[in-house]
Amino acid sequence: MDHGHVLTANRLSDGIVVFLTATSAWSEQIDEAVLAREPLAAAALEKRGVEFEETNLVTGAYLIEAERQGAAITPTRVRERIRACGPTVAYLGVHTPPCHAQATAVAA
Amino acid sequence: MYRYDEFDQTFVDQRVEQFRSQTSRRLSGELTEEEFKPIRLMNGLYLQLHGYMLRVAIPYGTLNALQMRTLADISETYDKGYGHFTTRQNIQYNWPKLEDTPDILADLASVEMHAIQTSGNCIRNVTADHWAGVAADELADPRPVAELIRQWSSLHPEFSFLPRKFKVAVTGAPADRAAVKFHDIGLRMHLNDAGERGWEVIVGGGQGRTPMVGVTVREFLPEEELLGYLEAIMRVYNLFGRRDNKYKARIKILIHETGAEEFSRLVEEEYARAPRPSVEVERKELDRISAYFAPPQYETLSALQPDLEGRKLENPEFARWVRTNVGAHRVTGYGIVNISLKPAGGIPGDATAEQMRTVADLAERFSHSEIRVSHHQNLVLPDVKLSDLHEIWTVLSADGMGEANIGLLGDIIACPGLDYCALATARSIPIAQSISRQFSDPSRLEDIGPLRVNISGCINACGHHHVGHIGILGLEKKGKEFYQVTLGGHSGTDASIGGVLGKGFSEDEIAGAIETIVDTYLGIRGDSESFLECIRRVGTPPFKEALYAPA
Amino acid sequence: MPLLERNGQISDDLWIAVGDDEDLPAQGDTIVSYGRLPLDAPGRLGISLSNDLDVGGLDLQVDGLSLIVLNFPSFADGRAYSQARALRQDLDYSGELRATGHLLPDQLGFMVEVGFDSFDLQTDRFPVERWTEALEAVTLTYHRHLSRTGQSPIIAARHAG
Repeated sequence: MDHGHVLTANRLSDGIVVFLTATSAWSEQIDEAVLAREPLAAAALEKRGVEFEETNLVTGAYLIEAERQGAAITPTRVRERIRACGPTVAYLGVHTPPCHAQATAVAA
Repeated sequence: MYRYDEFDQTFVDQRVEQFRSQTSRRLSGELTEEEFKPIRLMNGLYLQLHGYMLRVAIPYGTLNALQMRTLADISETYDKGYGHFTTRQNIQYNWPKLEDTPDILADLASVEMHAIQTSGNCIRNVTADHWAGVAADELADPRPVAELIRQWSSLHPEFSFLPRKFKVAVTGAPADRAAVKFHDIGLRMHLNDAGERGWEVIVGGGQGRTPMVGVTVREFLPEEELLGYLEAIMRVYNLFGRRDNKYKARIKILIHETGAEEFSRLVEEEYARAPRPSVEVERKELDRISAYFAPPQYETLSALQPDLEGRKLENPEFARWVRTNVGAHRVTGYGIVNISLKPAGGIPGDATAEQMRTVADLAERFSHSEIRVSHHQNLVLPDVKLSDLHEIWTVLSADGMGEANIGLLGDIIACPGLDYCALATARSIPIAQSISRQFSDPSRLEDIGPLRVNISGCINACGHHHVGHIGILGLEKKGKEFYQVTLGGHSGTDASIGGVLGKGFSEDEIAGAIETIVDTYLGIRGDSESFLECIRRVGTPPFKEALYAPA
Repeated sequence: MPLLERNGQISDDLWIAVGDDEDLPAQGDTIVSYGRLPLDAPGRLGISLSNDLDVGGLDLQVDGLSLIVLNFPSFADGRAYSQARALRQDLDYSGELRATGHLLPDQLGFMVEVGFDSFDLQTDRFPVERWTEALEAVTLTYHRHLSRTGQSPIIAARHAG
């Protein structure tokens, strides 16, 4: 299991939560994010975040703590797990996302 | 209800176009996020946990059928087909795009609605008794004054960049259904010996991390002086409210630190100094607005409703719903229908586009096209003939809105919590769901009697936990959510703030803890003694004993 | 930095701001802080007020003043709006009222409404037309007796006559 940091933000145009990938793209899937395992790498990610904010692609970029097990990346904090995965309650017309079971399993 | 004149319409239309240009300047990068944030907040647009959230103002909780249909259409066109009615009588959409927001605001403007000042450090949407104008116990309809305040506070240059947000509530009834003692300013109508209306001005109430009951600074302010006096209060707050710490920036802290007497002196001094609106013009304007709130043409109906009584005898579920959900109307033969948005296991305050349209249809057919939103996150059809109740109940039941639980344990107030909110520390909705599932038997709810459970997902208290008879506050410790329980809060005329019981409970334990509290109450209550009365009589010891004593 | 006037004109700022420790220049129009009053100035005299002063309660002689500058340390700090109103209405100040600090074009409407005449644009981030457009963006207001006409345009129109 790898422990480290992932850079997240909201896309400016529609507000959707996104994560920075290894190819400097923004993905809606946290599993596609680049995980910085060293503090220096994390600082570099944060700097990329500021650059992306300046070009007005995303807003509110910040680092979150996360762990990677196999292909799956899971944030450490409850808040970030819910943010990465969607509401834990089934909302009308939309079912609880499958990652939720995993998110709350970690929470329990 | 109030209708826009050409000035109101132009005002809102200009505002939409201004926001359209501001949005494009943000998207092009001309405005930074820091600069754009207060601008979007003044138009109701937040950035929440999963994306943008748009809060639309429903002034004093009153809307018509066409407006409700537009809210439904917006939820389908720009969002995911549902909306969330809030404790401040507004509606929130959880998934709008920034780039669509100017179009949403234009759609709203086309039906005389807006999202102005539903956020930001300004005077927020004015709330009112959700039974205003129809309640049997009311002195007079407070909504003309609420509308007067809405207009006056709209983009007021002095009060758009206050130290912190500012909430005003009004009521025209002795029984407080608007929580006027828990607002920055609460206004309660009184009549003098000559039968003239005046307003008791209550300042500095609030919830959040420092809950306080407001203090009365004027017992009886003549109606024509209201805006001048409010301006004096707002100016003192704007100049002297703390700006160094956002947790100490609300007016309640200023009053607490200055002392109520000194604060009141400052306000009176400011009021004596500044020019005031002309009393004659204010009267004319109030009369103009009041005309829109003239009661509809009621029919002369009999107090005896043999058909209704027959239906109730035939159908105990319908009879229960009439008992729990229909309020006393001031006109004989009419009732106030309270529609529960709290099905067992549901999300408090959520409604689908289809449900919104169902309510709009019912309002058109049976309630002079008028609908209210209550601060308990329910809807109201204010002007219903008792003979129509059965048909309304049948339609509501078929669409998941027939729950007979108004004011009972299932009628839970809950903020969106960590499932949606960026500030939350814990989830609220799943807690509300597990409690309402546990207490889903309507006959048991009725036996337990009036009991308000209010749930907040953080210390900011949007779920009003301080004034819940049972309050639940969600917190996080070491990556785990836990829930603190308070007892004895109340937002009515005899307002009180709940006290913390003891150590918190986990998500899995909380419904069981509520069960224990309720069982304890049932074991010790006197004849027809409500939960709140019981707590006030015995205090918390029996409940602590039941919850925490080693088995 | 350029100065924007309420009528949309852009001009150069010819006033000299004098620090609290500095002597007044031999000539020219000068701006000093409120604490230095009373004072004999070589030319016209202006003062700058910090935004935590309760202007309505000040014993301020406005007659000899040609300019009063109010400060917006952040665009989110709205105290100077109430100060402007108090200067105009409680102290009957009729000279030039100027806004300085962190101003946004989006706030000019508010500033004009409470009585500001000129705006010290400390930034060139926005094109000039953004500022001049902003002066005209909101034409209707509900607020009683704020404007120089003494009446809300909307209320006045509704109850004309």
